[in-house]
Amino acid sequence: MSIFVSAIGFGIASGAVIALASLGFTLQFGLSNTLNIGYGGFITLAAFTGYGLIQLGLGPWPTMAAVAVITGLLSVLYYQFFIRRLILRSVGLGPIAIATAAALIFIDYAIVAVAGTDVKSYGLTSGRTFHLWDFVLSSTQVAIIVLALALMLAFQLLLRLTQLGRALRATAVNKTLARSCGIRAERVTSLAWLISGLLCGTAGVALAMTTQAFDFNLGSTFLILIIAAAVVGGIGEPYGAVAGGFLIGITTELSAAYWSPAYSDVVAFLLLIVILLIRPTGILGGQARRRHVAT
Amino acid sequence: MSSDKGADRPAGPALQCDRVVAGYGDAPVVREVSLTAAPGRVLCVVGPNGAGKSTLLRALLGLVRVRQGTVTLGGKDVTNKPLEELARSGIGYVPQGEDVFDTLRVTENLDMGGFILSRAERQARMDAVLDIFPALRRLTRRYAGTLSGGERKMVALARVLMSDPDVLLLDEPTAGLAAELTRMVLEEQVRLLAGLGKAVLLVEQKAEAALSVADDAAVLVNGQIALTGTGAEVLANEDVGEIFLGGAGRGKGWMQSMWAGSAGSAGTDGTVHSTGIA
Repeated sequence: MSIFVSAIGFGIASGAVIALASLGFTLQFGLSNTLNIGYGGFITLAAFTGYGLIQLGLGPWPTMAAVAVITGLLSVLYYQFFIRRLILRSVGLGPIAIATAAALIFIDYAIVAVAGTDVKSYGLTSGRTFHLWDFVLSSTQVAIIVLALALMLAFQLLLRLTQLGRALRATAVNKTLARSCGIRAERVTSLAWLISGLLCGTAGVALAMTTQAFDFNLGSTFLILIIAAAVVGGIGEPYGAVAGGFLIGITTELSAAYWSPAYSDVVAFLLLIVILLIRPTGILGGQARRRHVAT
Repeated sequence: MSSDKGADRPAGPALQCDRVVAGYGDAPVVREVSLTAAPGRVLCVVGPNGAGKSTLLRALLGLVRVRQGTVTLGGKDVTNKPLEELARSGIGYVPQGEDVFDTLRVTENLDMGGFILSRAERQARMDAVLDIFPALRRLTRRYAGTLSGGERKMVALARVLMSDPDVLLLDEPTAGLAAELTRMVLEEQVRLLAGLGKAVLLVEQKAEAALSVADDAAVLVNGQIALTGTGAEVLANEDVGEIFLGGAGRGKGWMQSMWAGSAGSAGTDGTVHSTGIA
């Protein structure tokens, strides 16, 4: 029982980071219909930028904020000068995904060129530990869970309660119709890439903070969990990404506790396959159709 | 113009296209088309499948590039302006099919329709629009994707009215609707829009039903205007009947030849007359 509860605790901690990253990933898909494999490269870039700033003496939390902003701005540039141009040239979803995979490799090896292949660590001390039932979490993990939940809540409030958020949702549903309402859809889409970059940067630093050591493969490896969470939740669905993130986080930690950490990715993808076989649109995919049935 | 179905409202600007040529790739789909959608009137453009109706509408909306000719709104050149800028200039658009934001509530759909307004203006306008479509009041909390076809159409028209546009472009608003709903949408809702003083350009496949509510009409064949007149006049034309309404035993006139792609002198013997349409 103790192992089970403990694994759940770690699952929530890793699920919070996966959910945060998956939210950014699914936002990009929702607004631009782009399966951005390069997202993994941005995760790695965020982790290494954070490493550089910490080496320069910046504290971990100011580092996280700075990296979030930097990654957000880079994400907008990546959209404007790469993704958008592919979309304007009517390149299909599949070829764009492959182009973004090339971007992932490019970013990873650009990092290798600058920082080398050595394993890095932020070298943060674990600090206080929190005990709740059989959960044992470090203060860093607790802070990351709280921060991730706060960011996800803020994002939901933005989507639901602000005119800008409604414009984001409207543009995701139907860009032409949104434009016909006078919404400058290109600006809204750029904003979505800014927000997704902020989330990606935060997740990248949070991941590096909770990982003992990392190298240039950090984002590529983590991307598997991000995609699994987004697809399990229903790709393009913000709530789905969050639900999928926690589900994947908890499942992989349970499998690590009872089986082997080496099979975490396998379990994540097994879960993905099982859920897609049962529910092809993901847990929260096809919201409107279900609401139709419910009303 | 013989028909006077529009209400007595101050006239807004008209949408005019003059000798517009537009299309995809090398071959133009729309060729030398000139039309005027006048305030308080319904201009209906009908034509067989593939005649270029939707392409014409998309060209007017800046979604397909106009290669030659001009599009003006109240005399101001708006040719090839981006759709969002046209919306801000007073052109409303209801596309065929996906005409509401499915995953947004009805009130959120209306909010998006009034996106260019201030919050106070938007609230006032929503009240006014719900007065125009009172049936929507009980649906405001519903997600648009859960509504019936007729309700969705009402939301689409209410949404487009939120910004109080001068000109409305409707792309087959009755597509997929049953006969009774088609009649309701055209006779009540489309006429209502013209009654509010809007210039309405209606593109329709259901020619008979659409022409019967139109003040002005144009028949598009092979990307060219083949016939213009009042809705009643075009409806009464036997070539129109032959092609669209399945009239049996009537003469195979110039329009059928044109539809077959062989007409060179279209419009000389078949045009009824063209008041209200440039």
